[in-house]
Amino acid sequence: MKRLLDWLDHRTGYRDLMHEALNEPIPGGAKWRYVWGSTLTFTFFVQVITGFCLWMAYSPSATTAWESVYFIQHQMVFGWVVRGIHHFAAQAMMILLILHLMQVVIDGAYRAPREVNFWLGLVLMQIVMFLGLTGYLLPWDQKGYYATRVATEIMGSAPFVGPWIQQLVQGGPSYGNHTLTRFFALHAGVLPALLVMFLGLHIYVFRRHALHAIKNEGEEDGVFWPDQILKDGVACLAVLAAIMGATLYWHGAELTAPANPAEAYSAARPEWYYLFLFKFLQFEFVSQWGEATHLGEALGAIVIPGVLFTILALMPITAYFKWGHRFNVAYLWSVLGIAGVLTGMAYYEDWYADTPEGRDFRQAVEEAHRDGARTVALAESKTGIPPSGAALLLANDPLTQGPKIFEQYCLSCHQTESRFDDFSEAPQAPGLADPHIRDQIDFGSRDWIRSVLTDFGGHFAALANIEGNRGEAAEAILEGSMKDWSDSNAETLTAPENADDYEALVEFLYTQSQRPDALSPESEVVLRGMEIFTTGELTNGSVDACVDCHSMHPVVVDPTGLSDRWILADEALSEDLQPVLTGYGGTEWVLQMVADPQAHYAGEYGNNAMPGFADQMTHQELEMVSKWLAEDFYVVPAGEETESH
Amino acid sequence: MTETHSPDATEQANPPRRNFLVKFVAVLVGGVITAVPLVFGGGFILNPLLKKKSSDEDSDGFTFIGSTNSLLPGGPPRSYKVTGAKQDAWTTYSETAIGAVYLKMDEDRSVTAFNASCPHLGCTVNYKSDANAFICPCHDSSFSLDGERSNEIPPRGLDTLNVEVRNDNEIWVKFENFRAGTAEKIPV
Ligand code: FES
Repeated sequence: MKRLLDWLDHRTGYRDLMHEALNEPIPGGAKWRYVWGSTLTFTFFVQVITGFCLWMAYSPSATTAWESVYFIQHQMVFGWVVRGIHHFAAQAMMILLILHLMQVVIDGAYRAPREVNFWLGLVLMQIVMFLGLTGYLLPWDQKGYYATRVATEIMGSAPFVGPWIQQLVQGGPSYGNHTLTRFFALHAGVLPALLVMFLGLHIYVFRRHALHAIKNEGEEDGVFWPDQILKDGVACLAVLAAIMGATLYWHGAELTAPANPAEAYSAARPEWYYLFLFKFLQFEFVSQWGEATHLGEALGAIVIPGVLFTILALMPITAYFKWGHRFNVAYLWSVLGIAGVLTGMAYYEDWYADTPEGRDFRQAVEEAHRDGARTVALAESKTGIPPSGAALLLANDPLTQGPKIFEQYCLSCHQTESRFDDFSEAPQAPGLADPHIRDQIDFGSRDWIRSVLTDFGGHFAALANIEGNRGEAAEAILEGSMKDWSDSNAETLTAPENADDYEALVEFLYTQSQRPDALSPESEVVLRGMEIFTTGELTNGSVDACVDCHSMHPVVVDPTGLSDRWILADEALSEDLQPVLTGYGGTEWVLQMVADPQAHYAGEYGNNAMPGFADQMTHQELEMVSKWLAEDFYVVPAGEETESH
Repeated sequence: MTETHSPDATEQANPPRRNFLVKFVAVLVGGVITAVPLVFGGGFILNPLLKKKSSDEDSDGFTFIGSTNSLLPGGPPRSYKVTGAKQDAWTTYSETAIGAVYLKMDEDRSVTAFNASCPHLGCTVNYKSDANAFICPCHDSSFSLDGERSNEIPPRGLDTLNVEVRNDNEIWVKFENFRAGTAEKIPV
């Protein structure tokens, strides 16, 4: 062994090198305040390891970026851990950079002969900030997409060359495949290579001038190895523990819904270390000055930060003047202080302030979480992610899209009690569902059916608020034959001896909707319900038969077994009568009702008080809202929910 | 520049026991902080070996290929594309080409199926009617019509696949791929 090492030393001189590296003297001994540079180098090492791993699983294109990150996060061994470490180590790096900078400035370590190294450090800081910026976009989720768009718009606002720079960075006039390929090449190739280069120089120059020691009276001198190395190692361990802790606590980094330019995202915020700038740009005086100087956005976003940074870079020169060092320290504290206050303000306004903006932000964040979790649930379902990408999963999901359409077209008439306060007008129709509570549908539920059967007048009371030419029809409905039926039969239906029969009738109707919790058309209860629907004969007394007024073509189990859905029986119980009850409360029934209620509900001469939406909604919208109201959407089977954030 | 270069100063200042302890702890800490990212990164990279393939099939694995009417009893083999659902990392393809098979009908109307990929190194073999044999374009492996190899280039004959004729004339094949370059037929 010894001979082998001798041989190696003879050929390489590694012992001198090691000696040089390890026996660096430290006047005044090892100190905790010197650890920042080492922790930064260590964190960078962590980023390289995890970054290479992620690289092996990541695919930069608009239809595969989110998808591959989803796969990393939810399917791969240690995927969420590796991604979480990479994410939180990036945050740690920013914090350590600030601490390192503070230590250097406060100790005066930036002064001659170390000016160049100070500048090298500032270049490194810029590189790390750009690494953060480029990395934020790569998952191609709503959060990263919209936040990064703000950053590239800022680049576009730069005087003269701005628009060109923006196009170069984006790889075209708008975001797409080439934005990702470029950001990825920058993030995983160009910027790390620059970082390694500058870090090498930084360490070389640092060694050349030796450590800027702070030696107090009576302190013994020390050596780098092992005293300082141990301190560095312990500090790195603490950083690693913090990164791992954050990773485990938040179950890795967040992945919101896939980026969708057609879907607004009102919680777009940059990463926290750019938040001060974000807040600064929101001040009115900043835009006013921008206007006055004809620089626009660029003033607050580029010129002012540029000036502040230049003052920082000039510190070694400022220090030559009397009071120069004190000025520098004061300057650093005030810039950091102001940035800290701005960050705090932005944070408070978003997360705690009881303002409309704050509430909007928090709601948007909540929706982004929800949509992200929903996309993951859909991706993990049998359908999986189609080759066209995961954004389509959400765009074609009734549970996600239905409530939005309902809110836009339907809610103002069909107000639920939970939303009365949102409208000045009284409701004109029964509430069906609250888009804010989207997995609870009142319409077509068993309670709904009971209420229509035994309290028709009360159930549709809101119709009385309809005015104008549809008012007459509404009045006619409220005084019509179903109202009479309900009034005269309610007592019989709800009689205790008929409890089972009443339930059976409700179940029969409910089964027609094919909702997930509906009983099979072959079950005894449903068959009994069909009998009552046809004859009106109950255990005790009778009601007027439903088939006398309603078309009904009941569902049966598909005899060929090809379809999971039930199909219509060979024969109808009754035909050509309105309101049609075939498939009542199911997707097709709702779709017909929303598209053309006159035809579906009332027939040519009947009373209909609802406007048709066939001309207002696209077919896709009709389908989404109908499927939502009919509970015809994918539900994660109980016990299969995966952990989300 | 500080020129107080005296590496032995601390050696003397610190008792050797303490110095050894410091060195030991320093190395230990260094080991831990290096190991943690490497372990997680290593597991991540080994994903293909650690993650079992999900057996998503609740079907029997057979795929519909074509009709018996497209084959002549005792006639030449014909090539068919196999399409099916495929899971490729994050993407689910509902209908995509997953391979090719040769189907051949004997005089007694029994159907034989071969995976069209060459057991040598995986090229797709051709049926040459003039030679009345399967010949691989890559390194000239050749196979007789019953799939036996007729030269020494491939390590084994063409891989047969299970066939079922359903509903009178539908040919269903259980499509599988096998490892190339081995004498045995090992499914992948
Ligand atoms: S791959 Fe077919 S002969 Fe080599």
